[in-house]
Amino acid sequence: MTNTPLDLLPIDLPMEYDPSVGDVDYFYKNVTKHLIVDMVKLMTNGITVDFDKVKELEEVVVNVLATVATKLASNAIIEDFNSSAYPKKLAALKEEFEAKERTLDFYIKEYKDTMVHRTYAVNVYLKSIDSEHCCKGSWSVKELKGLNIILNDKFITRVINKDLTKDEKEAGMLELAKAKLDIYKKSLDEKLEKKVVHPIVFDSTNKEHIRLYNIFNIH
Amino acid sequence: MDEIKSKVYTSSYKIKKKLEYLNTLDVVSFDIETRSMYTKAERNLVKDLVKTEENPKLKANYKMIANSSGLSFPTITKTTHIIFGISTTESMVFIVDDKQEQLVFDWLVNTDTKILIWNASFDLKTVYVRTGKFPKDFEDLMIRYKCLINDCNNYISRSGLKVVMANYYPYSWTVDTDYEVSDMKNKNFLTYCHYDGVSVMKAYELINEMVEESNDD
Repeated sequence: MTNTPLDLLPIDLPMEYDPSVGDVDYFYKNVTKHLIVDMVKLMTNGITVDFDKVKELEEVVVNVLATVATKLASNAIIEDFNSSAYPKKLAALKEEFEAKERTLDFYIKEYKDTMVHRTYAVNVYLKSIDSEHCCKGSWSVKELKGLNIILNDKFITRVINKDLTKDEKEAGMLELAKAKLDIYKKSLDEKLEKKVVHPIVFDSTNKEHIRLYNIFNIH
Repeated sequence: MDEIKSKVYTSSYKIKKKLEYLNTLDVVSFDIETRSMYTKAERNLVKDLVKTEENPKLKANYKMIANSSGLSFPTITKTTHIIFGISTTESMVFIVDDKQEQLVFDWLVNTDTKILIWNASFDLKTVYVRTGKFPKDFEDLMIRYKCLINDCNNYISRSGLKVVMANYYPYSWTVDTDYEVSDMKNKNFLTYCHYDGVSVMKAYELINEMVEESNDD
């Protein structure tokens, strides 16, 4: 029996030498048994972590990963993709999305006395008289009548009587068109973000990347 | 099934006498039963405090108490039973308080008798925290067994005592065990302790046979 597992070193490779032949207890007696005391001590004491050393090591790892990324980026296959295929794909994608873009005119419609149209017309008016705090998500005629008891406003009266001027109708419809366009642009940007192709950058934690580099035998 | 030959000792005098006897043996198995130093009622009380406490440090402490059990770190556990298997059919169970626990553990780290333990990482952790020492001559049979049967598929090489020795002892030993008995002399629990002790001796015998046979092949 050895004093510590380190005394066994150097030892031949397992394919050339199997010390457990004739003594199946070899590994327990010479290796694991010695580790029990240390294992229990570790469990009770924990491991002291030198955070300065951890920080030093972190810097080394970051630097090494940066060189790995640089080396891989300079690989012929990656360079070829990033210099030719990538711009083409990006341009095609931009073209596709540019074709989908809409203007404000697309959303400007004629005013009808619906809840949505009425609400936008009233809210635009309320903002113009510095009463933004009164704006609501929807304005029914009944609610407007209630509001008008307090305000006794000519515009509100015209809304209730369905007697708005052309300018008042257009102002409300313009605001509605802007809101619809904003929503459309936002959804388009989200779709583009999902579809956009990025230049290939090595990610050491990405299994797909590791597989790809293995396939191309890139080291 | 072998008859249960287990004796239970609670007085310090008897325990001392029996430790002297154990000194004369070549090999004994050792096992302990532990419980949280906090009672069920105390833990339940603290469980409510965990929900309302906003101070993170206090909350962490409350959580530690609320979730404590016999398997917690030894500083918050109490040893209730110490079991020595002296043969494949005979065992001794010491029901101990703090002083008696220290007495037995001090003996354990000074005796020349070989101590057999199934999973030393639990039992010896408690001994080490209480005494700062390890037994002079001990064997962790679980690790030894694992070394012999190791398989990359962990399910095949399961090495829990009940899994390995289930065929040799009553089925009730392997299931439905309440580790937090209020009555320290609960008959079912003492029977459980007995089987814990003697099964390790039996396992020692079987593993030795297994090793000898394998070496002869």
